[in-house]
Amino acid sequence: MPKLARWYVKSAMIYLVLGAVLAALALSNAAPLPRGLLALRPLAWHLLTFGWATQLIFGVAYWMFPHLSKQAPRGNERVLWAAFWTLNAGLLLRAVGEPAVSLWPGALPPAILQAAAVLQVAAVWLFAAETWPRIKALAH
Amino acid sequence: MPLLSRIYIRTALVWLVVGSTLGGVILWSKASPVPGAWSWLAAHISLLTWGWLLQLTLGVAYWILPRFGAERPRSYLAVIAYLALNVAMLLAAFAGLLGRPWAVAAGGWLQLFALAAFCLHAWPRARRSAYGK
Repeated sequence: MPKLARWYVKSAMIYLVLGAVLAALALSNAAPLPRGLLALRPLAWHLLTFGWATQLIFGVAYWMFPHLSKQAPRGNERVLWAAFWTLNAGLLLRAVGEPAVSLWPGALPPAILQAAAVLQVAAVWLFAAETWPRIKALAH
Repeated sequence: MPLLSRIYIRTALVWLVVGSTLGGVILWSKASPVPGAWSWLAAHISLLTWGWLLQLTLGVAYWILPRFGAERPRSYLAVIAYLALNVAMLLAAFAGLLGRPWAVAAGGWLQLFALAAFCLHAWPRARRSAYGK
């Protein structure tokens, strides 16, 4: 398994654990929850769907999809590393900014959540653009 | 990678890009309101769960589950599943926005039909591979 795939997969597993903890705390409807936990609900969903599931798919797709060529079998490595860093930076900024905006409106500059949005979308666009040509028949 | 898997996976990537961009607009609007951003929430969820996560899974399953020789029998069921899933997902994503609640329900039933069709295709392929493992 190449290095970038390992980074994607291991990061995904960290988000799985964090997301599961937050889900256990914040997604229950068994009893009324304090405001601080309710503010974590969107983050719990996004840690599990984006940080875990999507990032795991990115790692495995990068590893296992058909190769492009002998010179650059998995496409442009710099772009794919950029997708990794933008995804994780965006998700970490979201982890700080989203609950804060809900609990203490105006306490943090809006640029934090705006940057989180732009970075996460950029990660998806970069990865999709770089993976698109690898979705092809296997060369035999 | 067979043609149908390529279609499934490329469609999934398209919905990933569209759904994530809608999600980015919604997240941005939490910092500085964007008019109408929250009306895209159902589309964001539907595109990313059904259109991206599920569709990618089905495309990869069609590709890598054990075959019968070179054959993937009853592949027409996987084609039907692809068409039904995408129509259903678009209904579920956008019908509420257009004020057509009956279409949301129709989308739900069509999703069920799509998944049943895919399972009928894939069920016999979940077996020992030709290598005996």
